[in-house]
Order: sequence, then structure tokens, then C-alpha cells
Amino acid sequence: MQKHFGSPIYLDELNVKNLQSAFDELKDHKPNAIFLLAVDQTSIPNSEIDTFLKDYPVPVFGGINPSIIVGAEVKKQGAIAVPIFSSIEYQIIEDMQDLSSELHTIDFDVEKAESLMIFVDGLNSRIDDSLNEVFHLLGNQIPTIGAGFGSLSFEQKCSVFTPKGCLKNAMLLIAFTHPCEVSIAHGWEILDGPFLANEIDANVLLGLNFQPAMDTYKEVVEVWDGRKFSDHDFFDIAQNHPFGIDRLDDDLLVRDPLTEQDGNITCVGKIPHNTMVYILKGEAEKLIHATTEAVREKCSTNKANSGIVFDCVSRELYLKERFSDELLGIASSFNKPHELFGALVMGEIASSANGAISLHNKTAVVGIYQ
Amino acid sequence: MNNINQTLQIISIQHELSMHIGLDLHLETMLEKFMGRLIQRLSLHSGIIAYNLDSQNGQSQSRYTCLSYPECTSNCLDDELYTEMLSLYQQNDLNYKYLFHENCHTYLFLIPVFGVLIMRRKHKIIDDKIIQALIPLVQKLSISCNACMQHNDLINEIGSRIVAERQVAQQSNIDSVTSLANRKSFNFALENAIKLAEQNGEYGAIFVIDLDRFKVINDSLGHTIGDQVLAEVGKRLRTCTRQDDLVARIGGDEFVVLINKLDNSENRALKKANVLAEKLKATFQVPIIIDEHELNITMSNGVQLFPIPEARGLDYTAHQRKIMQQADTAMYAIKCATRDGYGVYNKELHTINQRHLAIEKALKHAISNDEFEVHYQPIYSKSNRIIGAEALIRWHSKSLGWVSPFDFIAIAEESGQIIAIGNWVISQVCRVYKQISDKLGASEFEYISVNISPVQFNTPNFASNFLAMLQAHDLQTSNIRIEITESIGLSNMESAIKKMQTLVDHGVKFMLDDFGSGYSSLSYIHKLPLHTVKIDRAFIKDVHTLRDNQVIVKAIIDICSHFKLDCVAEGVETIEEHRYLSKYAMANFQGYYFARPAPASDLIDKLSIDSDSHQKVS
Repeated sequence: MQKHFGSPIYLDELNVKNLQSAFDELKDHKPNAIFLLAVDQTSIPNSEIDTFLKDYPVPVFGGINPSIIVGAEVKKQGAIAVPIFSSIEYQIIEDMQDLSSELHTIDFDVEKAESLMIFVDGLNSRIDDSLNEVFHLLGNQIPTIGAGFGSLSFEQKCSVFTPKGCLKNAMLLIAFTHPCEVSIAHGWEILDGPFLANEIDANVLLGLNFQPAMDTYKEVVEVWDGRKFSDHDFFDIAQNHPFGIDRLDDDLLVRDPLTEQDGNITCVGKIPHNTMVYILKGEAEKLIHATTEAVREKCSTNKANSGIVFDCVSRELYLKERFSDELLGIASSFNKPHELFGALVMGEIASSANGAISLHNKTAVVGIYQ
Repeated sequence: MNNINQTLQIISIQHELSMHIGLDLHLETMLEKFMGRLIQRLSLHSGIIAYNLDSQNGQSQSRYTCLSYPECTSNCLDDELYTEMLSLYQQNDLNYKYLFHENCHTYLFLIPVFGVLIMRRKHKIIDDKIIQALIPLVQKLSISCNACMQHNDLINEIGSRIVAERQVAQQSNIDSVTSLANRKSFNFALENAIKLAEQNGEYGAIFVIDLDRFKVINDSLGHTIGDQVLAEVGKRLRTCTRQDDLVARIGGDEFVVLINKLDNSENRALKKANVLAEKLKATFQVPIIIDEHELNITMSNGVQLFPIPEARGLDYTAHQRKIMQQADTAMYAIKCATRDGYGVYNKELHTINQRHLAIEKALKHAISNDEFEVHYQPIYSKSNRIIGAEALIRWHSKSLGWVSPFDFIAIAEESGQIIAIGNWVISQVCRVYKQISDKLGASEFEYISVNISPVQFNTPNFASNFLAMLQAHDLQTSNIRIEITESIGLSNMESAIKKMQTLVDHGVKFMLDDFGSGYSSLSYIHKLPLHTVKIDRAFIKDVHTLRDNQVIVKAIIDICSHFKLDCVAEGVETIEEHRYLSKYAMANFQGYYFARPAPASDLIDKLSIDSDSHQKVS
């Protein structure tokens, strides 16, 4: 089978000159498309880069991220360009706020698609709803991975690279004729619960067990952690204790608590009203083990030829220097670990074993291509 | 999972999914929202809701509704699943069924009085406790689905009612035959137009248009054709007006054109109104063709400017009424005079119109009041014998006194009363002829001719009625001749010829009256099955001295000779005229020189004298 991706080329800075040089190098390999994952920098958005990408004769897909991954290493600046050799079709939804009017049908031939990648603006408020609508139209037969791109400054700006340029609030669907195995794992475990999320406002948790959310959360976490929220920044403690949404079969769907105000906890990603949530705890070893084993299990018969990893930026914040162990663990399942690439992202997208496409937090999603 | 946690999980599933039921009044949207959550919460591979199942007979999948999440492009249910689904719904004795189908754990839940929910999962079955917990949830779903359906029905009903109300409102303002505004709309528009004209110091105009002899078309060709004619008239009138002007149909064959903002000078406004009146007239020079009928439509058009200076101070309703009255009066004046024209109101017309209305009113009772009389004017042969007579109606109205036929015949034709009057005349004439025949026996006196109006002639049963009347009086068909004018074929020449031929085949003879006075005389002689041509008085007057008349009379005589038609000179009033005409092959004469029209008794006396004198000579 034809190789899906080629070797990634690292650019130490994202500018037109570097892009031209990297793309010239890739040109000889005749790619059908190019992945471009870049680290957020102050010069973005940049109209020159935008024009260059739009005018380039081969479609360029990708986005802006807090960090990128090349060969099991995290890079805090620059970009990577990766040639894509399998046949692709794509569809751009330019405004996720108005998805229902833009997305009436899937434009590409779903029958031919063996795998799918979805890139979204990670700071858009409609990611969960948009993924539901895509799933509704696309069906449950196509393995899907993807990511939410954006800046850790939480300033919403253009973050998704598409053939129409760098877009804000956009969603990009890329269908490949190359099959893919999806590995989803996080390693977080139940600390306490379940609690009924009785009052929700989109991604803001207002009430747990009919009490103010923060009261219930604090009661559990402060006992376990030993620190008081009143003495520390909320995220310093909360990053160790995400929420887990109960699902009948699949692993708990993790939701990362970001901020707290007036007893309400804001998370990344929606929490369904009246769902059951757990408060989770983690251990570095267990987190690393979960992701490594998940990939290894998928590659149990054969080592994979290529792979793309979307790992949550908050896992790196949590695991700190141990994060490289996670990447090495994931990369060890590949024939060419140095060719593993990806990004630290603001939300991970993957289809479950049953087919439904969800937004994950604090999770590592790996697309494995033979 | 321990028991407490499982209990909490079940409660949570119920609560969470229950809160996702009824989130929209639109059924499909509501079900999509529910299904979206159900898929995620229960980690389903897919979910399907099938409904509208009542017409299913199990023979084939058709005519039911299937909502699938995610969407499926082809048949959502294969035959096995369809059969299981239908059986669950129709038997209605189980809450749910399980089957392992196509590598999926498949759960079918009955949604009471609505349909079936089908959930499919890979990998693991759903714990039975959770299944049981879903049953009351599905009951709630049923209530919500039925509420949505009722809501939908209500929306549809309201929508239909709104459409119907709009139609009624529109119909109440629109004439259904022509799609023009109706009288109600016109009155409203005229009131506004008057207000606007007064405010802006401008003049507008209305044109009251009545189709000439439209009743003939309706009676002879039927109302379907009549309606199409009206629709075409409406269209043509519309082409003569601007966007802001109004054309309305306000009565059977009556239209009105309302023109706003003609001019702020009365004189100029009047000039413009005249120009438009000409344009309206010209628009009907091209015949209207409906099916195979070519119809020459003319109209009588009364024009009135507004606002009317002397109506200032009146309320708008009174002002409107005055405008319409005056336009009507102008229209009637045209109708009585020439038809096919237009006229602007002036005060004298008011008088004429009043008389017109009075005549129309009095005519209604003229027969029953015995106000009519038939007079007879003898027709003489070259040898000075009375060979026939023309019957002429006279009317002495109790309320109006003597009313000339020139005044009442046109009105009777317009109103349709001419038919009853015509039948009465025929009946009288038959009676008189019988009387003459009984008294005189065989004689030179051959016939009495009756003038038949085109309106009466074009009634569907004219021929049979005419023959029946002759038979009722035991007369020969040759005893009563029919005098017609050139307008007999105005609406439909072919039909007229056919009817005439029917009567001719029975022995009836036709005389063409006032020959030469119309514009298409020669074609008539050629086409109509005539026996006699009566030369119009206009050409007989002073024929002995007027060269032009001589030429015309000679030409007519020659034509009649060629077509083997008898010729009667009408209106012979002097001995000179008689002498001159006697030189030619003129068959018969009629006129004051010989005798004036007089009651039947007079004719009988003359015939007696004529007969006696002939016997003496013999």
C-alpha cells in the first residue's frame, strides 16, 4: 500500500521563505497535499503567509498550536511540513457558528473515504454541536481523528490552515483513501462520584448534585490534594482533577476545568445537562501507561508505518518533564519513531469504538497508518 | 460498578435523556436532539425511529417515515429488521425486543401510538436494568412525539386558514372572471383618488365603459365564451393604463377605468382624457378571437373628470356617487346614440339619461298594460296593388305618452326586453294576417313583414319559436316575412346564415332592410339567403334630381337583378320619386306617397278597397 505520509520537514520559523524552501523540497515527492502544523507566534496572522498558502498549487492543511511534535519531541517554535501521498478530498466550513446553513451535505464521496481528519478552531464554542452534525451526516463507519487548533493566549484568531487561507471559526474535513486505526487514551481515574450535573450552561458547570458546582468540587479535591483553592490559582490544582463524563461503553470523556467564578466552573468542551460526572485523579505513570498501551494494542500485530498524534497541551503541563516519556512510549509502536509528528492541541477529536465523534480533553489521540 | 453507583447511573441516564425529550415542537428536530444525546449517552452505533406505520401491511417497505442517526443514504431497515419492527408495533404487547443483527446488539422499543425506536450497539449488550429504565423514558417520548404531531397539525390548520382568509380577502376585492378589481375595490380607490386630487390640486378621470350588445354574445355563444370575452376586454383595458391606474369590472359587462393625476389644469386634463378614450376605443379595433369565434367588440364609454367643482363640500361618498352618475349618463348617451364611441358628461346629458331610465322602466309593463300597437305600412307593386305590408310597432306609454321607436327600441335591445316585445309583435302580425286571409281569401296580398332585432334573432330558439307561432295561427311560412338589418351577423355571421337558411328551408323569406346604410352591404347580399332588398330611404329621397342617388339606386337594382333578389324602394314620398323609380326594375314601393303606417283596421280597409277595385276592373 502506498505510504500515507512522508517524512516531516521542520522549519525553525514560520515565514514565507522557509515555507517556500520546505515546499520546494517536498515538491519532488509529488504530494497530493501537505500538512502544516505551526507553533503560535506573534507574527500570525500574516497576510503574506496566508497568500502563499492560498496560492500554493497543492492543498495545505493544518493549524496553529501551542506546540508541535516532531519525532517524539516537543518543539516550542517553528513548524513542520509533512507531505501527504494518499488521495484526499476535503470540505471547508467557514463559519462553525452557522454550520447548519453551510453544511447540508458532505461534498466528498463518503463511500471512498477510509479515514477522516477534522480540524477546528479550538476556541469556538460550537465544537461539540458541530461534531454531532458532522457525525449525523457522515455516519459511523469512518475512523476519525482531529484536533482543535488555537493559541494558548485564548485570543481567538485564525488558527486552521485551509486552501482558502488561515481561517477563524472554521472546520476542515479531510477524507483519505488510506485506512487508519484510532487510539484514544487518557489514563485518568475516578477520584469521586458520580455526581449529577444538574445545572449546566454549555461548557459552564453550575450545579453538581444540586449544590453550586465549585462547592462540591472543592469539597472532594481539597481533601485529596491537600491544597486550598483559596490559596492557589484555580488551574494549578484543577489541572490535576478533571471531570469525567460517564458513557455506557467507552472510557470516561474527560472535561478540563479551566476557570472558576462565582461557584461556576468553566470547562473546555460542553457537558451535557443532567449527565453523570466523576471527579478524576491522575498519576503520571498511569497516564503515560494508558496512552502507550492504547497505541501498542492497536499495533499489536504489526508496527505502524506512520502516525499523527494530537496530545492535549494540558497533559504536557501536567506531566511536565515526563511528557517526553509519553511521546516516546507512543513513538515506540512505530517503525520510524522519528517520523511521528503532531501537535499539542486545544481539544482532541476522535471517533469512538461505536463510531460517534467526540471532543476530548486531556487525552492523547493517535492516528495509526500502516 | 457497585449497586449504588449503578443506581445513580440509571437515574442519571433517565434524567439526562428525559431532559432531551421535547426540546422542539417540530417533530424531526425534537427527535434529532433526543437521538443525538441518546447515541452519545448509551454509546450507540446508530439509532433509528420509524413512524407513520399504520398503513403498513408487512408486504413491502413503503410509506413509513424513518429518522436515522446518523443519516443513512439507503433503506435504513433491511427486511429482517423491518419485519421485527412492524411486528412489535402491530402486536403492541411488548415494550421492547432484542436481537443480534448484523454484528450489532439491536434493541427495538415500542413508542406507544407512534412508532418504534431501534438502538444498535457494537461490542457489549446493555445491562438489563438500564433497558428497563429506558421503558418509561420511551413512554415520555411517545407523549412528546404525539404532542409534536398535534402541534404540526395545528400549524398546518392555521396555515390553511390563513391562506383561505387571504383568498377570501382577495376574492372580496377581485373580480373572479377578469381578475380585475371589483366594485368594492374601485369604490375604495375612487374615494382615495378624490382625496388625493383635492389635496394636490390635480384632476383625474374615470371612464365608465359598457360593452355594446354583450348580451347577444352571452345568449348566442354561452356564458363560458362570454366570460372569456370579458377577461380579454379586461386585459386590453389594462394595457392602456399606467401601473398606478385602476381598471375594474363593476357589473356584468360594465368596466371602469380610474386614472389618477391627469393634470392640474382642467382643460389639459380633459384633452388627455379624450386622448385616452381614443386609445381605449382603438384597442378594440382588432377583433377578439375565442375558439373559432371572431368577435368585434365595441363599447360605449362615458368620461368624467374629478373632482367635480360643484361637488366640493359634499362628503366623499356623495362626491363619488355624483362622479359615477355623470359618467354613467355620458355613457348612456353614447349607447343610445351611436354606440362604439365615447363622450364627456355635460348637463344636457343628464336629461337624456333620466329619460332613458324612465323609458326602460316603463317598457317593463308596456305589454301587460296593453300600451303597444302594431301599425302597418302597405307595400305596393309596380301595378299599384298592395302586395304586402310592413309591421311597425308603436308605443303609447301611460306614463310617458307616445314614445318613438327610435327612442325605445335601442333601450329594449340593451335591456333584453326586445325579445318579449318582438314575440308579441309576431303574434299580433300572425293574428292580423289570419284575419286578412279569412276576410279576403286568395288575393294579391302575400305577406306581412316583421322587423326582427338582432338581439331576438340571435336567441337560441328563435327559428323554432317563429315557425311554431306561424303554425299556431295556421299560417303558411310564406305569409310572414322577416325584415333584418345588416347588424344581424355582427356577433357571428356563420351562425346567422345557418339560422336564416333553416327558416328559408321552411319557406320563410328574408328582406334586408335599410340596404346601403351600413358599411358592409355588398358582402351581405352575397352571403345571406335573402329574398328581398329594401333600399334605404336616404337613396330614394330626391332621386329624380340627385345624380349620386341615381347612380347608387341603379347599382343596387343591378346587383339585386344579378342575385335574383326582389327590390323594394323605401320611403317614397313624392310622385316625382315614384315616377323616376318606376322606370327601373323595381319590384315594390313603400312610403308616405302611398300610405303612412296605420292600424290594422286601416290596412284591412285598404285591402278591401284594393280587392274590390281590382274585381271591378277584371
